[in-house]
Amino acid sequence: MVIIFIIMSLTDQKADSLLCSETVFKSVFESHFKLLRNFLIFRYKNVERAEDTAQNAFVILWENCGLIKPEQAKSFLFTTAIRLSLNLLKHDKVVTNYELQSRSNGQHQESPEFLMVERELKIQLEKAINALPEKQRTVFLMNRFEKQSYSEIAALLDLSVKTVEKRMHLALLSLRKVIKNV
Amino acid sequence: MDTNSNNNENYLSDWLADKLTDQQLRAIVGESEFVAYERLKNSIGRLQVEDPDLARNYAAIKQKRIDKFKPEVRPTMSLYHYAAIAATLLLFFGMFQFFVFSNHVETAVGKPMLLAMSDGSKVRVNANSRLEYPSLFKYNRKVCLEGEAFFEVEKGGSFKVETSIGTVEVLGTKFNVFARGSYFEVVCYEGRVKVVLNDKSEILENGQAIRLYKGNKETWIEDDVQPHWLSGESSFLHAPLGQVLAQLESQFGHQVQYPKSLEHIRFTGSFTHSDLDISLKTICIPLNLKYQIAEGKIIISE
Repeated sequence: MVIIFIIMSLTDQKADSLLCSETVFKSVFESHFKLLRNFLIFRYKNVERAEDTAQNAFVILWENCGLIKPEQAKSFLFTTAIRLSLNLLKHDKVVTNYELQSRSNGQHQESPEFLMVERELKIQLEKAINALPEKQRTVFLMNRFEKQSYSEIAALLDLSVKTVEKRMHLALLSLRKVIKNV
Repeated sequence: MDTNSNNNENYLSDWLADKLTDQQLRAIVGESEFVAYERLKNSIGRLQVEDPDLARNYAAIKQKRIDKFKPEVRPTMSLYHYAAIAATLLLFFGMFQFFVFSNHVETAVGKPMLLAMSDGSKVRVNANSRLEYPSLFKYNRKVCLEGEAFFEVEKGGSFKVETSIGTVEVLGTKFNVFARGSYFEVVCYEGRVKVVLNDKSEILENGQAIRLYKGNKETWIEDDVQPHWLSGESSFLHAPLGQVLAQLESQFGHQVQYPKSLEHIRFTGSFTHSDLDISLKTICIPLNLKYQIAEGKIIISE
């Protein structure tokens, strides 16, 4: 946090940096926006708010483009977004407005019975995932949905790998407890 | 199980990261639980959140970047609000100061005075004059003048000189104001001043001068950089004699008596403040007048 404030206070000395070029900035946006936004959805359980915060993080990234190398952008974005989301998380409970989708899976045809059971399970899972504590849900979905390794998650969220593992374990354990009829 | 004993507490996360094999998990949780976990893992693996609309989000970021440079409407409004309240308070405070704590200086006959104002301006008040100014002059640069004064105004907000006849508003730096009785005269030596007479305003530039005498407005060009009285002389350009003699009274303190017919004769020239006799000569000789001093009175005759 302190580092960010220092960085932000140095914005005046905007040097010519790669990130300040529109094309580089746009490619950084294209490679990181989805992950950042989805992380914020896991956190907020709200798409609009997640996208708004993710956009704000990119605006702050742009304002500091002279001080940040493109390869540092991802970690800057996450640190910024977490800082931006702290107050929002504390104050109000937003109504959940996101839905999970089934990944299109064209590889093998599933039977109608299987699909029915799957749909039922999906609804239960959605509920169970949303009921998870925020910290467990974020880590769990970053790993399961976004395919981020434990060490990647640990780096992005400034946690130890051990903590990430703990949260993964607890998350799956809770899901198993909630969903009894698998 | 023994091989994984130190990871036991987080066996599910190890299994999800393929650090624990299916067999190992089966050994820990039992067959039926393993099937359930396997089922959960697969079902979760088939889920995702909807992909973002990248183009729309990128456009939103660009817009926010632009908006950040515009002043936000609400804080600005409330700022104006505060500014208005502050201005109102200042105004009331200023008026209070002006009316209650007004100061004044009165110069004695023959004793001009230099005033250094709190805003850095200098006012040289000529002899036998009165100048009023508010205590918080720095915030309310307005003076009332009866008599003559030369102003060197520091840059700042408006600077006003009010007299019984007209108002002089400063737009520049150095000017002289003379207001006594019905006679009013302003000479601008540097910059610009605005003179308000009977609701009509006139701007005097560098070197321009204006006088109001018997209801008539006269303008002329003044070549000097400062009024002569600052260097111990009174100087007149086509000025009515009544005015010249009133000035003489102010400088020397002797009452001057003269026939009414002389009052409106115009005089061009100057007199020194250091010697009454020389002064009387410089006034009377060019106009072909006689003078005598008796019992502290000066009597002038044709």
